[in-house]
Amino acid sequence: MAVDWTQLTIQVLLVVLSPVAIGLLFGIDRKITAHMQNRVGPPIIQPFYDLIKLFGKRTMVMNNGQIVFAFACLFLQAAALALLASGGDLLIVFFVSGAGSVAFVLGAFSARSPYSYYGSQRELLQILAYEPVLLLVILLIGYDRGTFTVSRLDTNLLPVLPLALIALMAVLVIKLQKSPYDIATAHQEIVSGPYVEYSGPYLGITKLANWFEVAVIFGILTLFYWNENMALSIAGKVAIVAVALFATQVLDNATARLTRERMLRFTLPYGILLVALNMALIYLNRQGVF
Amino acid sequence: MDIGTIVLLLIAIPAIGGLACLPFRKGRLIAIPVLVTSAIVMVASIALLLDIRSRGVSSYEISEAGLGSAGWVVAILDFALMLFFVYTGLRLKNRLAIAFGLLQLIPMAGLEAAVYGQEIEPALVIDYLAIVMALVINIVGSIICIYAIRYMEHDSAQPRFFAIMLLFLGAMNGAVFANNMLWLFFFWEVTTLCSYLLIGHERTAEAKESAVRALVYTLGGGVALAIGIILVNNYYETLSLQAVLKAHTLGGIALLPFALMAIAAFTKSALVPFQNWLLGAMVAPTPVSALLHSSTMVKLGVYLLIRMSPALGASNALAWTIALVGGLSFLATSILAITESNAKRVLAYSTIGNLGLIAMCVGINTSLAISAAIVLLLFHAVSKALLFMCVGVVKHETGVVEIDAMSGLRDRMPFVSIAFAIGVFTIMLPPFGMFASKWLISEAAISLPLLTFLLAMGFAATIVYYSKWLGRILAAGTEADRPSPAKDPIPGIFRYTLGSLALGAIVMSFLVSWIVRYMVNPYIELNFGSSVGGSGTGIFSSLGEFPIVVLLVVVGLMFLLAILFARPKKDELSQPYTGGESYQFETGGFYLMSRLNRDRFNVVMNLVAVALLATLVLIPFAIEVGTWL
Repeated sequence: MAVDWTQLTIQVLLVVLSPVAIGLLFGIDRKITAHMQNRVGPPIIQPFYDLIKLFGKRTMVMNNGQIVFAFACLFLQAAALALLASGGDLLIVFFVSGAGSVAFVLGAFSARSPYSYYGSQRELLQILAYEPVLLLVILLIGYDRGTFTVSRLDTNLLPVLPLALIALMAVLVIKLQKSPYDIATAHQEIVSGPYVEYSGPYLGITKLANWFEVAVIFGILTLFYWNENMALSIAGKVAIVAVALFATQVLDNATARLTRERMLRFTLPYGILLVALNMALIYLNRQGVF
Repeated sequence: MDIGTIVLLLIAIPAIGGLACLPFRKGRLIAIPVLVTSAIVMVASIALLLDIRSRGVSSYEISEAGLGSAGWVVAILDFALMLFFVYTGLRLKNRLAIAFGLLQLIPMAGLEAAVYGQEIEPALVIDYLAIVMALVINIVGSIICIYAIRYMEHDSAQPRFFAIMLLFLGAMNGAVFANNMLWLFFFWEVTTLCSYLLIGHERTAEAKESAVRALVYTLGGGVALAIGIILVNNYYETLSLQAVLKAHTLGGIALLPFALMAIAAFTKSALVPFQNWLLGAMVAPTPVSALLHSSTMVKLGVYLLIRMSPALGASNALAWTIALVGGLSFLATSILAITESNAKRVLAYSTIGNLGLIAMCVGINTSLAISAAIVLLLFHAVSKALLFMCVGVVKHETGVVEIDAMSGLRDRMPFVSIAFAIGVFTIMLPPFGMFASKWLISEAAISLPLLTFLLAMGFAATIVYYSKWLGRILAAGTEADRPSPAKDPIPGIFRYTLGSLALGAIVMSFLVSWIVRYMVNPYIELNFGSSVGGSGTGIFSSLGEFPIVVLLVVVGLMFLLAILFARPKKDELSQPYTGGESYQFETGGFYLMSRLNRDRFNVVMNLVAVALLATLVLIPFAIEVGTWL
């Protein structure tokens, strides 16, 4: 099999540059939020300063379980992103990224600590709230397109799956750890929950893993727009990311944190309902109803 | 050795080995017949696979004519068994058991009279599906029997216990090889007998009650099977399973026997609404649970479903109802498992859920779905046996069965904790073998979009209940003088049996592509046309690709890195953050629902399941009426 070097270079660049883009996105996010709250805010590259500083600190951990799962989380999220960037199977991307989330939870569980314990329980509840919706959206893409292979998804999904895209917004907010879904990391209640027993470089690793995780979900969002014209395609994808990010910011600043139960009762039924409606639309369309 | 001999060995040797246990007294010597029998059946099952591969055929047929008076022996034993069930019902004064016993005995007597003198050929058919089952039964089953040697060390009725355990393996082999449906019925009923005796082994009031419940449920299933077989003879004029599945007259009321046989399979596999007997069966010693859940009993039900799958394609309505029963079982038990605090009951729910997935695949009835079902059946057996055996070791050594009491087990029993973690990883996470089947199921489900909703919810719930349990076990204190896994104070026999299954689960993950190509596809090709391929890096279908080997290498690399870095020095250790308060604390478990809500949930679920079963039986009638109009 001949290796397509340009293709490969693009893919490697995508994997390497995605977290950089996500870091910048977080920076912009903080800047805009600051403006919304009449503050100046930190520079846009502040997230990188923070990360670099973490890696320069001394290691402090409770036990080796934390370390193993921190690495597992990073590797799995990076692998998921690499699969997505190389045009692999979307279902596998989802499941591998999900395994990364589980590794993160297990890492937090590994330290016998009250806040970490509560944080991981809440993280599991969040998984219970968003995973079904995310999986259903992906299955819906497969149902509509007849393939899960990303490199073969060369059509514009937006007109076909508008409701699924809306359902994904809640998933995005949870993954970004933003209000009203910052339940696991709730600073004011359980001192950043699953992160509390991580510090220094290993906190850096788990944060970086979250960047990859967010990159995966943004990557899935960008799949919704596609155009034969490369430039138009990229512009559309960037637009989706920008709109999605802005929407989460408005939500973050306008809402208070939900309770665990309400998150589950709200996110899950509505997310599933949106996907079901979208599925019904596709089905009716196929039957030639409209 | 010729193939007929191997097959007979697999059926007869466990029975003989079981009988050989009986003259022994309680003590260490009982290990001899158990080990010898286990070794023979393990080797024989592998020989079967190698033999069929080297001959390049898709199945063997063994004719009854070549087996002498085996037909008579089976018939006589069958009636003795049914009489025993009626007698047991009388002794227990259980009307349902008596009724079910008689409802098998009388119709089967009529059927035997009707087919008297007929040759039902071939008596045994050994194809790849049967061989996959045989490998699961004989390898995983034997490992559990060896494990039990230590676990049951202080039991007062050891010989009887091992006799039944080994007989169980033989009965399972007989059931999966049988093509003559009368034989299938006989071996099916032997497994009912074995499970009844094993569940009641401890002879406490609770054990007796659970054993009787299991007996009644599975005897009821036996009635459905018996009537199904009689109707098969009526509509298809043959009792050769192979011939029935290839019959071209499938349709209308002639589908009724399949609906009944599906119900028999549901009872055996404890799918909703029949889950109660399996949950009650948890009172049995842990090796029994491991055996029932991984390699015998419940697997026989889904085996029969997979076996029937080529015929179920004749009616979408029938197949889809089976898929819904399976999907409902998966979703409901995954949610119920979150609400459960007893380790063995969580595992029981997980088993029912996975069997539900297999039933769902059979209902979807595409090549992709059936491939997923067989892969799932195979991998589930290994991982579930491992998990049960871990729970058993913890119970044996510490007496603990509540999940919340296992908190911080990693500090006390590192070897068992690691084995348990491997069991959980291989059962739910990529890139391990069982995940391959979950991936295939997800792909297969989009041909019946309604199922995707059951599936998505069930997967997430599965992640939650396994993660919170594993999290409990992993919750360790500050790295101190924890014993290394090599110094875990558990008996050697536990170490080797747990270790072999844990290693097996991982090695098999690397071999998924090979397993799909050489063990699963030959059966699929024969009946559906294959849809899953294997390559050097993983497996692929028409919808996507799972680069399992690449991902396994990534995970392996990760572990290497972690092991290199994961030795924090003494001055790098920290204490947990508690906001400055004292470090002593208790954390409660998280169980999602109150007991009241759980009971309500159960009632609703059972009602829906009963409605689905009623639909299942009515569908053939409805189709028949439809053809008249």
